[in-house]
Amino acid sequence: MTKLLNITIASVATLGACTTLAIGDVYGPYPITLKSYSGSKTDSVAYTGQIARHVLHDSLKKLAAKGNGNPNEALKKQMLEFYSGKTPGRKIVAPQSKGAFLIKQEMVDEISKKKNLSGKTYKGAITGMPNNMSGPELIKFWIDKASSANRGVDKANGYHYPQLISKFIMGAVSYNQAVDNYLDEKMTAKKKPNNKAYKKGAPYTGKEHSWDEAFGYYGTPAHSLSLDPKVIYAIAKRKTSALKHADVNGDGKVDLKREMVFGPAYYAAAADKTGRTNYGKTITKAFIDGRKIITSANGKKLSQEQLGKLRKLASIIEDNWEKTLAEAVFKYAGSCFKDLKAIQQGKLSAQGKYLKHWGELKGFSLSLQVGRKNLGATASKLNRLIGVGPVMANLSQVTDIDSSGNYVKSQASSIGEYMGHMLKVQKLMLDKFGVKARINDQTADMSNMLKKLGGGSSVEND
Amino acid sequence: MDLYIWLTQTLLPELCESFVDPRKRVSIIYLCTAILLVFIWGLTSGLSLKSGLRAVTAGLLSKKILLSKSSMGDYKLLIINHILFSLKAPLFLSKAAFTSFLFFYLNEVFPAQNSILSATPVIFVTVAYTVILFLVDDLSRFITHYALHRFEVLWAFHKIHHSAETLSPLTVFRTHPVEGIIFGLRSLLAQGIVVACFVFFFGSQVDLVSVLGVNVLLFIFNATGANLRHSHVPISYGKSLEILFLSPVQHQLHHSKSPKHYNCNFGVVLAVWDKAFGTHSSDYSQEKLQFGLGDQKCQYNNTLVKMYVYPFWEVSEILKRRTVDIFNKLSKGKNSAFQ
Repeated sequence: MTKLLNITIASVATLGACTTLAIGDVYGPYPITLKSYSGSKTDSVAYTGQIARHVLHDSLKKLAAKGNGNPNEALKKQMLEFYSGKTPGRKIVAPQSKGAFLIKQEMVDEISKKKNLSGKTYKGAITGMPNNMSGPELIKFWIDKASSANRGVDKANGYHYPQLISKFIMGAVSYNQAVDNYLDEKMTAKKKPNNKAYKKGAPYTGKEHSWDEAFGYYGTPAHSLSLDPKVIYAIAKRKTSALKHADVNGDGKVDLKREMVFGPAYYAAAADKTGRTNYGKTITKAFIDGRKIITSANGKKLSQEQLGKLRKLASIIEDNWEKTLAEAVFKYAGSCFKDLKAIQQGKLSAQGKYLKHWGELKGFSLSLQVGRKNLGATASKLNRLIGVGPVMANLSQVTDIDSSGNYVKSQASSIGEYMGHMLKVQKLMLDKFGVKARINDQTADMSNMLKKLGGGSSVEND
Repeated sequence: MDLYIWLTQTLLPELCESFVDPRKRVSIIYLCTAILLVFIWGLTSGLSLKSGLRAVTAGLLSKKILLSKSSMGDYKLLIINHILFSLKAPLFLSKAAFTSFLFFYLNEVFPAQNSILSATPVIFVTVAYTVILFLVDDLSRFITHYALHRFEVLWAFHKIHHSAETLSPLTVFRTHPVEGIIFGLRSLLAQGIVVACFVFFFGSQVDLVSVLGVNVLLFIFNATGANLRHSHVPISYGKSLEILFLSPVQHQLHHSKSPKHYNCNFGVVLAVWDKAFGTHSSDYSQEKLQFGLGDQKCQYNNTLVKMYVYPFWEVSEILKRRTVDIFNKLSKGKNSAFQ
């Protein structure tokens, strides 16, 4: 009864807050359309499981940086609890309240119970790493390594595990589940039909919940269509100034379930902040438009025309989501290029940044490969250019992992050559994905220099 | 209505931009310094203030020059070429695309050399980039210009420029579109190669020593006499300086219709290229130069259509003649083989 009362109060509060936003700008609440439902709920939207997984991801990332350089079984166990465990009573490690930016939930179970990441991680072989490890195997391998690394960083081999784990999960869980499962397989006529409950007793139909789950994996606040990318970015960073924008129901706290920004949406906002892209709004609007189509079916089976429209919207979401990952690969390839240049100039202090950026680059590059599409030659090229490990200042580079899980290293020819690889990664993202935000563009210098030299259409003789 | 908007909001502003953009030779700044230079030249040549002003008027601003049939041809070509190149520009290979291609090609061929010189002091890189860009640009202009005179097919197009009988700063735009494409390719190659090589070896610290955003060396050239090359003011730098730099009168010599002046002074800023190729001339003496194509038949009459079309007809005639020559040679070869 108390639970029901809470839900009702929350729904009313949300509805009240939403009156300041344009109708249709918010993802939900949407009415119950399921004919067979006889319960008391009034909102058919639910994606708490996905939010719980974002929280598990954020917490795991934080824990991955807790090692002290010695093997630490307790830390490993704790990390595995957040990756593959389902045990109740897990306290949220991240995101937590920061100053005035108060977060409503403190326990994972307050969002959703019995959730883990491993069950939803891409199960195919990860070709960008040795030994054909599956997604969960690779993450567990990294968790093991992170638990014994100092603050999660293996300076000898060049691995920044918190970044590798985090950026890969963003693709292997969120991106993969959304575009390859909920927006693909579950948007066919046969699977999860709209005239039946998603599961027994649920207040939502098969299609409604499939669509909601995909939206949940994107990790954007329900009202984010009305927010500027800079604000979305600031919410993810838990800036005090962003609280008023996040706390749409005005209770003084940010509800992780509907008001917080998580990984995928954060990176879309990072690109959109440049003003050259509009990934976040495009994706969110497509989600809202799609949900409206499903709601308008009023609990009936979706027609071919409706399914066709949904597939088109799913394709928009997938394309834009893929581009945000490609933009991140582009950005971190540029960061690595800059760091390597500093290292080449003898600034060894750049090493720390380099390993962090390389971890982000590698993680995102692997994420890009676990979507619905097979990237084929593009993936092979990307993996060859980035390699299994970064080229270190002493030119060593991990090239393999032996059967005991030890790194096998060899000698790279030069830092300059690897810098060239970073530029080729940028060019690959440009050629194959048409990235537009182009943060840290290392060829932009040339364009600027050419602009300075002038040109134009006048034809001057000598 | 659309045409009106395009004329007023695109074409005219773009054309006007040529006269305010310091990267263009005909920028108002350089036109003003050219006038000042003629005035100073007049005074230092012993002319009175009044005569100095008259020299400016007679050599640069006279109605006879600016409203001549030849100058009218210049203006027509300027406008129509501008329209043509504005419309067709996206079809051409962009400098940025070529430079990027070259940059990545360098990465492919010399993978270990990327940014290898990035620790070089910025001041050195900046000066080296400015000088080398200037030298490569000037040399490439010389080579292009030499080729335009040397090869009959190219000369057919370049002749349009030399058909000018009065020279004004705007004669610089008296160019056939085919020549325009050649100039575009030259600029693309010269600038693309230098920029790609510098960024490849030195990284992003490369910058230009510039004045008003223009290469300082090019700025000096533009401000000191570039516009007087196409004028009737015979300013010379003196024989000793003309070994290094081409003076306005030397370029006027290049435009002379007298056969004894043909094929000389192809350079733009530096005279050293002409010296090296044996095409340097300071033989301007005291004679008053006349400009144009001289004994070659001038078929264009400053008519736009003729100036655009005639070179193609001429090229077709050249190709026909050459084909016949080749055919005759082959026939002769066959006959002699049977004898």
